[in-house]
Amino acid sequence: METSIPIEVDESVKLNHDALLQIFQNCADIVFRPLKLNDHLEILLVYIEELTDSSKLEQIISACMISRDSTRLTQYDSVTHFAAVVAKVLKGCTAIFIDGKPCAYLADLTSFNQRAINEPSNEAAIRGPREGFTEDLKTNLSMIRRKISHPNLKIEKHQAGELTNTEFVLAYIEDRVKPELLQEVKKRIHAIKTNQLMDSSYIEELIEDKTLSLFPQIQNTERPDTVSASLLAGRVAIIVDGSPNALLLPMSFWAGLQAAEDHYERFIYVSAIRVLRLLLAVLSCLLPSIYVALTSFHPQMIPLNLMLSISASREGIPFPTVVETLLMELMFEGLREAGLRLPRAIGSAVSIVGALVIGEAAVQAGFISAPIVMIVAGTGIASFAFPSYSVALPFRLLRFPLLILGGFLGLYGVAIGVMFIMIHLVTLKSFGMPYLKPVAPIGKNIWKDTIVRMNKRFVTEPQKNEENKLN
Amino acid sequence: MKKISSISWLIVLMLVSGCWDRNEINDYAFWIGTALDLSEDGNLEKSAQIAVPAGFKSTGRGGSDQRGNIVVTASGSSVVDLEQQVQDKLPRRIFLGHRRAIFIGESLARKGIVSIMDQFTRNTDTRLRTDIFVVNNGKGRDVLEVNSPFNKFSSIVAVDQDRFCRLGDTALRDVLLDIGRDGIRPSMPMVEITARNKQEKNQIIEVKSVAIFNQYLQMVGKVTGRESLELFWMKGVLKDQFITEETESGNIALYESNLKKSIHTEINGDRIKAHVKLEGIGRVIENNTDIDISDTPQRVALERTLDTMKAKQIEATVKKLQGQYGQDVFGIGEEIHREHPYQWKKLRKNWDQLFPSVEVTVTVKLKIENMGGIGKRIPGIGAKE
Repeated sequence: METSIPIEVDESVKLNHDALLQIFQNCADIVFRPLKLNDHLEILLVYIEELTDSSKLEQIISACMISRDSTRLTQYDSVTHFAAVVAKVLKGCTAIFIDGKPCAYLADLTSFNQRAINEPSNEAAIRGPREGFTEDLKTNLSMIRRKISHPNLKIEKHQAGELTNTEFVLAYIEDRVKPELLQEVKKRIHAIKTNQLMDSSYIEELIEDKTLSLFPQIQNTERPDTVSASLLAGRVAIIVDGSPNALLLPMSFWAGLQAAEDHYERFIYVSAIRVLRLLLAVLSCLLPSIYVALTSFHPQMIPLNLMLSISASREGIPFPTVVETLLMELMFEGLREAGLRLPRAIGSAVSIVGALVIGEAAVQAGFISAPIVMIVAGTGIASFAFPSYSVALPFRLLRFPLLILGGFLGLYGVAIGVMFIMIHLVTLKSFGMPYLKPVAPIGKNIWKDTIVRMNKRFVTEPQKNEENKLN
Repeated sequence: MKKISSISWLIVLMLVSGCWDRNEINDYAFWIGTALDLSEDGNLEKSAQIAVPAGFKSTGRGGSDQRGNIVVTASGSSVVDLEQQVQDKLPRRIFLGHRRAIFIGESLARKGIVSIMDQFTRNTDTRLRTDIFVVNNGKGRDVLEVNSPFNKFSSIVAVDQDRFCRLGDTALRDVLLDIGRDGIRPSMPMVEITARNKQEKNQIIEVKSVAIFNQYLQMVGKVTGRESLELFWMKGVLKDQFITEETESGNIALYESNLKKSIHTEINGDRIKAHVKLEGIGRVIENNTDIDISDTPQRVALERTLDTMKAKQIEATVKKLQGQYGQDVFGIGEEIHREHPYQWKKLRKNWDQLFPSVEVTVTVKLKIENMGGIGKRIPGIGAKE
């Protein structure tokens, strides 16, 4: 049964046919369509029905038939390697074999149903472009190319995944990107050894610096404008076919606190919002632990009247504050997780029930004190203020160890926790760039576009490699 | 492996060295106010105003008759012993970190409070932003038992009241500082319970006097009302006040803020002179005189009259204090110390004897910056046109 698969395409259509039949055994979606031109010239079309624009195909075939000439077919790219033919057919190309020609012509008549370009649902903006990436690489690349119409925008095609044969591209702007960075990215990409590449996150996991860190070291976005802006700032983008999330690297922590809209709104407002976001980021991580630490270890730090109110609402509560907060935080996270994937109609019902149960009944029944509900709600709101979901995640998770530290060791524990987080963040690097750059180590352009955004008039545009030196 | 062991060592270290003093907030008895009195048998009597959070709860929903606090009393010989006795009466751990006021009964104050004050300087639980009062003609415990309609805690009421008319919650710090110096004698605000009508009974306390102490921390006297404000103005701790002056044609009231004082001293042989300059910026809030303040020559003349009148009043107050109590509550001695440090070394031993003979001259400079005029004057007063 085992016959060797030829390396080169043969002159004989018959042989090629046999070889392909063997390769595509039991592949019901592969169509072999033998044709005869002028009653003697044998032609074989091999394609995947579902991925081919059949009306275009028919048009080409009928044109050939009428003109009784095969030149119409030979205008396509010719390939002599058999493996390349197979790969291309699997990607949706139509392979044309003509008797007497030792090559296959590959017509790209790909057409399949795909999602339309939608507003990016996780990174919506009020002002600025509304288009978001789709699953189709070509569409995504077209969106970037439309924004940067310059030959210096380089798009390198790569492939990974032994079984999935997924295409992905490396995009960068030649004289903006630091050569060492590009080299490092390429090195890590070539080192990828995997069977499958289902999404850009697979690449992220395979090439990131510290895979055990809680903090994402590669930014992901659904927005072509964010990608374009990052490319212009000298970063590298990786876009994977089949994934609507492009990867941007290197990533700094501050990118997670910046929304695309920040560059479209007026700068004073944006600066204020960014400061607010930073504050909320800190709160989302520290609010419960500080509350617990203050109330159970350092009551002298709370103003008298506030403390009496807290004390009054804690009368008769059965749990210690730590346990109380931990329970409520877990409840909140559970509610959030439950609501996330539910159909929209049920989701709202869950949140109403959750809010009622947690907010009202628990307090009324005297299980939970009212300030805890406020603290948990405040933390929840704060954690929704992150423009980037993946940056919000570590803060969500770190809340719990900090809460336990705060509950057992007071502010001392919280300080220890924060110190460890800071040490980690300061040592973390993303493709050679310090994660907290330009705040730690402090950089010249700290006020340009980090915690606040400077007016574009006052910011000198990066010229060629100048920006790279700063990075 | 090495990493894991080092991390676990860190955790152990943290747990072992951490502060294991966790206490739920509702296991504390918050001590809001202290009263120190002399009991009939000559012992020290200590009363504590302790917050009852359950009673405090219903304030938000309007109208509960609960006091929100209880007053616990114990008597013994030392303050700390009394603290233990108070704890014996309470089911929760006492917490001094939020004490707002200390009330000292007048009889105890007159006997002397040296043995009490030491504890405040040592006990780290004491917050320095505590107010300290002497209770005029009464016992501290009575003040704690007052049911103010404004706040559940009469201690806080007293502090707030003091803040708006005298010093506020810096009093204990000021007293402790004054005790440590030898050119000034401590003074502290006084509260009293003087019901003028039925509603005021058991509800209102008054802060209008200042108690004067000698260097042995015995209370020697008090000044009331305007004189007490003048005392604090000269001491330099008063920030603002209302001044009402009687002129020939009627009275005029000013709200004075940005109050400043500067003292300049002179020593000529045996004669010690002190020139006190007091300044302030005023806003007219009542004008029953014929003077038109909007007219600059008239206003300047008014300012001068007011200055001289005020200076005379203050000089009289100083004379009275020198004559009656002979205690330098103004800090003139401190000023001499600063300006004539070498002479002060000889003076300070018998400063109490020297102070009554110090010649104090006062100049006042009030500036009317805002005449407070909205619209026309009420016809009939000062109508000249």
